[in-house]
Amino acid sequence: MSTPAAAPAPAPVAPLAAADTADAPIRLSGVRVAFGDRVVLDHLDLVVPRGKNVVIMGLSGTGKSVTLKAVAGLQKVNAGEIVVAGVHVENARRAALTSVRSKLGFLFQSGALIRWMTALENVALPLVENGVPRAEADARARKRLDEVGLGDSANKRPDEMSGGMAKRVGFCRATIANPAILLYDEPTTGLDPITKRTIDDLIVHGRDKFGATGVIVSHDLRGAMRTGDLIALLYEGRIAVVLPPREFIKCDHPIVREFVRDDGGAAGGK
Amino acid sequence: MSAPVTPERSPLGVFADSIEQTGYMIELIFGAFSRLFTHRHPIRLFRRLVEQLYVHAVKSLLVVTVVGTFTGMVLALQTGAELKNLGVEDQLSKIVAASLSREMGPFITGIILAATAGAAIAAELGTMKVSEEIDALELMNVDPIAFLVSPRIVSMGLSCLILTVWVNFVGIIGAAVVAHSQTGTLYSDFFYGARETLSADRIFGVLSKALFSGLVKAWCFGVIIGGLSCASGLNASGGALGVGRAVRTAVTASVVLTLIVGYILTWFFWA
Ligand SMILES: Nc1ncnc2c1ncn2[C@@H]1O[C@H](COP(=O)(O)OP(=O)(O)OP(=O)(O)O)[C@@H](O)[C@H]1O
Ligand SMILES: [Mg+2]
Repeated sequence: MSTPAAAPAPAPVAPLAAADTADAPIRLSGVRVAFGDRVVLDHLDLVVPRGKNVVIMGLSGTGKSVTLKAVAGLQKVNAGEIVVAGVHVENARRAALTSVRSKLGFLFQSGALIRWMTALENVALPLVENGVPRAEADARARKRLDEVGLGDSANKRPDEMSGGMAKRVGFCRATIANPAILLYDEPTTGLDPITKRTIDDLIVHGRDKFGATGVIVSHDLRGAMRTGDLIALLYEGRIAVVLPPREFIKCDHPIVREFVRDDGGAAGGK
Repeated sequence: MSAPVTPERSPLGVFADSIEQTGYMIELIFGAFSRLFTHRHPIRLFRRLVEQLYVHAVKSLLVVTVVGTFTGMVLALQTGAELKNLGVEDQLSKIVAASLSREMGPFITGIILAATAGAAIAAELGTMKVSEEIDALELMNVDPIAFLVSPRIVSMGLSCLILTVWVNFVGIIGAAVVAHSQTGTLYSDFFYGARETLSADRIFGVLSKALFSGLVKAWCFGVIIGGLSCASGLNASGGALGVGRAVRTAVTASVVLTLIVGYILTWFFWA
C-alpha cells in the first residue's frame, strides 16, 4: 500500500477538468476573511473534486486553518461563497449546517479532544452521539486506535498524551464514521516518519475505499506527494497554484521552489 | 506570587460584558430546560446531571457548612445582644430562622456557589472554547447545550436548593449554640421557636412562606449563576487570558445579578 518515498505515484490528474468540478463537494469562490484590519484571505478560489484529496500548503500564518474552518462553517467569512455538499455554509441555517456536518470529518490542528474523556471515548463520541450502540462504537473505535498504533493508549486522557498521540486520536475521531468529506489540519505534523506514513496511508485508503473527498493542510511535501491528487499553494490570501503533485513541484512559484529545495529534492522536482 | 495580569478592562467594560452575558444567559437557560424534554438520550443526560450535582453540591459542602454555621452564630450574637436589652431574647430563634430561610440562606449559598462552582464552570467551558473543543462538538453535531450546558444549569439550580436547606439547618444549629451560651436559652426552646416560624403561614399546605420564598430564591440563584457561568465560558476567546477574563465576568455578573434578582423576589413575596 505504501510507495517508496523516492517514487511517489499518485496518478496525475488534470487539474480541474470540467467533469470533476461539476459535482465538486467543496467549492470556494471569492472568499474573504478579515480579523479587524488584518485581511487573511482575499479572493480565495478553490474547487475540490469528488473523491480527490487536495493538499493545501503554505507559509505559517497564511490562513490555512482559517480556510478549513470556513469550509466547516466555523469561521465567518466577510465575502464570497463556500458550497459544501450543495449547501452554502457561509450563510447556512442551523438545520442545513447540521446536515453538512453529518457528512464531515474534521481533524483540528490542536487535536481538540474532549479533555475529560479517554482516547477511546473521544473516538467513539461521533458514533455514540449519533445513535450507534455503545458496544459497537467502542469496538470500532478500538480498531481505529489500533490502526494508528494507539491500541494500548485507549484509556489515556488528553492531558496524558503527547502531541503526536493527541493528533492521532483526533485523526481517529475525524475518520471513525467514514464521512464523505474530510478536512485534516496538519494530520502528520509532529509525528515520526513511520507514523507519518501510516497516517498518509490511512488518508489515501479513506479516499480509495470510501471515495472520501479530502482537504489536507500540510507542511510536509513528501506526505503531500503521497496523499494529494492536487496540491495547492496558499499565498497572500489566495490560492496561487493548484497542480497535480508532479507538476506542482516543478512549478516556478518562488515559495514552491523554496519548499522543494528545503525538501532536498527527495520528492522529485527540477 | 503575583496574579497573572489580564489585559485591563475598565470597570465599565466589565459591566458591559456582564450585560452582554446576561442576554446570552437567558438564551442558555431556556435552551437548557427545553433540552430536558427534547433530549434524545434522557438516561445519558440524567447521568451527566448526577455527575454535575456531585461536582457542584458535594464539593461545595464543606465551605457551605462552615460559612452557614458561622452566619447563624454571628446572627445570634448580634441580634441576641439587642434583643436582650429589649428583654425579648426568647424571640431570637424566630428572627434567626426567618432571616436565614428568607434571605441569608439562599444569598450566602448563591455567593459561595458563584465563587466555587460558577467559577469552575466558566473556567472549564472557557478552556474548552479556546482549545476548540466546543467547535469540535458542534462539528460532530453534538449539541453543546444538551451536552454541556443543560446538566450544569439544572444541577446548579438543584445544588443551590439543597445547599440552602443545609445552610438553614446548620445556621440554626450554630445560632442555637450561641444563644445557649450567651443567654442560657434551652436548645429545645430554641428549636421549637425556629420550627414554629418555619411552619407558619403555609403555602399549598406544605411549606411555610418563609421557607418557600427562600427556596424559590435559591433555585433562581443557582440557575442564574449556572447560566451566567456557562455563558461567559462559551463566549471566552483569546487563550488562557480569555479564560481568566471569562471567570471574572462570570463571578462579577453572578454576584450582581444575584443581588438584583434577590431584591425583586423579596419584593414579589413580601412587599
Ligand atoms: N480568531 C482569530 N482572531 C484574530 N486573528 C486570527 C484568528 N484566527 C486566525 N487569525 C490570524 O489569521 C492568520 C492565519 O491563521 P491560520 O491559523 O489560518 O494560519 P495557518 O496558515 O494555519 O498557520 P500554521 O501553518 O502556523 O498553522 C494568522 O495571522 C492569525 O493571526
Ligand atoms: Mg494552521
